Amino acid sequence: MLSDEQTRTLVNVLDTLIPANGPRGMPAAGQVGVAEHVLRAADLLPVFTAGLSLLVDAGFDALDSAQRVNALNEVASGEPAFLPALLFKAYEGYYQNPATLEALGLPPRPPHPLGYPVEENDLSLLEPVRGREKLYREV
Amino acid sequence: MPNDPADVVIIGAGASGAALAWGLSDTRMKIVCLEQGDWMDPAQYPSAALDWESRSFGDFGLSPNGRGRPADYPINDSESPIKISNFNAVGGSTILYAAHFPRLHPSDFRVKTLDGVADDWPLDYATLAPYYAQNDLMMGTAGLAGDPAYPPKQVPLPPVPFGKLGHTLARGFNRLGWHWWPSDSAIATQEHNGRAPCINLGPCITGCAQGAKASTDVTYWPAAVRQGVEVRTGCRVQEVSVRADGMADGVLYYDTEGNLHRQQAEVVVVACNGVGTPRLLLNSKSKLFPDGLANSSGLVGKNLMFHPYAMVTGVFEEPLEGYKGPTGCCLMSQEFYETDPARDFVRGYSFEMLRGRGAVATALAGMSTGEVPWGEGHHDAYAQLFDRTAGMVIICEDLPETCNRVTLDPELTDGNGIPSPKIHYRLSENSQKMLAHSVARGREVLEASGAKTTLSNAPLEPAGWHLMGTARMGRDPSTSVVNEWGRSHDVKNLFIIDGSIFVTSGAVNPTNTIQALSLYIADKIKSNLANLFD
Repeated sequence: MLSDEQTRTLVNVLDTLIPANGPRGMPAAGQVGVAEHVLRAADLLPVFTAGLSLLVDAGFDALDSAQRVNALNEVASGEPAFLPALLFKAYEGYYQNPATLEALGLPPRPPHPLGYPVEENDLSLLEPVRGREKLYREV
Repeated sequence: MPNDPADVVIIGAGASGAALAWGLSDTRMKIVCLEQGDWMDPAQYPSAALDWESRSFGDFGLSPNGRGRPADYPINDSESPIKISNFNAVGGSTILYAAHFPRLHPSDFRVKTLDGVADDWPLDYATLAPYYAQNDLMMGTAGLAGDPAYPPKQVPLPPVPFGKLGHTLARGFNRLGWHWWPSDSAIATQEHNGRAPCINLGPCITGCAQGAKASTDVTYWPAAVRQGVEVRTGCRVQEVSVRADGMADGVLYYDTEGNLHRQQAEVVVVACNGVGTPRLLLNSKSKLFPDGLANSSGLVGKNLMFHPYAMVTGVFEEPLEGYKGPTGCCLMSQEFYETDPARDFVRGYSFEMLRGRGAVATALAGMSTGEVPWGEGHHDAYAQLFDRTAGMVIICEDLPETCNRVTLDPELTDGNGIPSPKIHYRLSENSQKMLAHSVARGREVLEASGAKTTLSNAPLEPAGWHLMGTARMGRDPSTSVVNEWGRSHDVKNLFIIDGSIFVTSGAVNPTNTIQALSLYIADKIKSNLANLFD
């Protein structure tokens, strides 16, 4: 379990890893609840705690954007498991979030039960293949 | 604790066990199938929830070692560049398969005669053809007749939609003048035997919530159960037991509480796939069979064949709508399937087109290749990839070699203390040359389709989903484990029916052939009932 301070820092870290992008309409990861997804990975909690402790000690929340990137890179070299594990869970949480899906132009729902319409097959494309000699060998 | 004796006990409720159970069910024999997994609930499949991609890395992952399901048994595949993918449930690995459903080719049964390698099968394409046709009807195969890569055959259902992605790739194949054809897919593109039609969910390989994909829990098993076959779940078989005269007399199995049971039977059928079957036979040691059951040839576990896979992915300028439609079942190409003496390898391979990656998989793939950074540049880089990738997997024929094998791990066991299988496997020189050739041709066709960049991955590590050859069939008991209709040479009431009995692997997905063989063996059992054990 993370402390309140570590949890606040986690949200800011997520915003640094996946920041908002206005022109593309993409939200920042920390603002769409990705921290909750990250914290559900109980087996990775020790890794996250170790990295976040260092970031809290470095005063991460008070740093500006460029300083936050530097701080993350420093922690990544000292705690090599931290950033790959956090990115994995962050991308999972972010890219299955309804707000993100909508921003990508996808319906914010699971595939089932509505599915997706797909265009009709153009079987005329097969004409050159139909005209070929058999490819299999007689035995 | 004894159960009522059965006429037939089948171990494993996957592709082969289901087909054989249905094939025998009209005899009204007492047939019991023991399955270590349970029935699946399609409403709980990942595609019915937003976290469907996460779950494909978790409880619906391909590897039994990472999945953590109680029904799974651990497999030591640390010494193999290709890792095992399987699933344990009613339906077996058809729960997770992509449902590619091609047949072997006539030449695949005659590789020794035609190409001077490996061995010929003791049966041929013509013998299996009616069983392929029957299986196509039972499973509901979609596709299109007229493929010049095959002898004439009918396909019951219309092909799955190509989508924008498939059309793009088809044009690329046409530009090169290469063969392609709508894939044979075990996917109901129309309502079929009470199954709802495919609605293009996408993630077929985490189970089909729609029920359109032909996993055997929705095809053969309901029909077999209606005919009186019993499927007993949560039963992990420890060993096949034998009488003093060397005939099998049943099995010992654990229930989910860890209680040991005995199931007597007149006929024992092993249907546990190319890894689970040799594991069970090697674990069934006795005074009469000190090297494992049915192993007088010494070949149980040997000649393990995967299909070495490559994956080639292209990045395109335009969106391809690749998240719509069955994962991997729109088109295939067999331009390089048959042996060509001009190449530096024998035999050949198939291309099978893949849909694009989901939103999560795009990010994770971009992370692993370094194409998608974190931070300010993330969204711009991600936008270059999302819905702009298309690609293919390449299935290379794997030739049998005795050094590639399944043994029992000296230390690793499952939850019941049964020794786990250990995989010993290395890529042959022929496979490595074939992979290199196939990747180069894959890049070529993706570029002809308009890809601006291509990436490849070979061999594909998690692609140990086709498990073959570890109890091969043949007429000579010194060079094979079972005869041409799956009966053990050593134990006349023991049958093996899964991919273990393949003599060679071909270069296509094996499930249709596994099931056609099961139906054929069921017919042989029925027609030989009077002297089945002679």
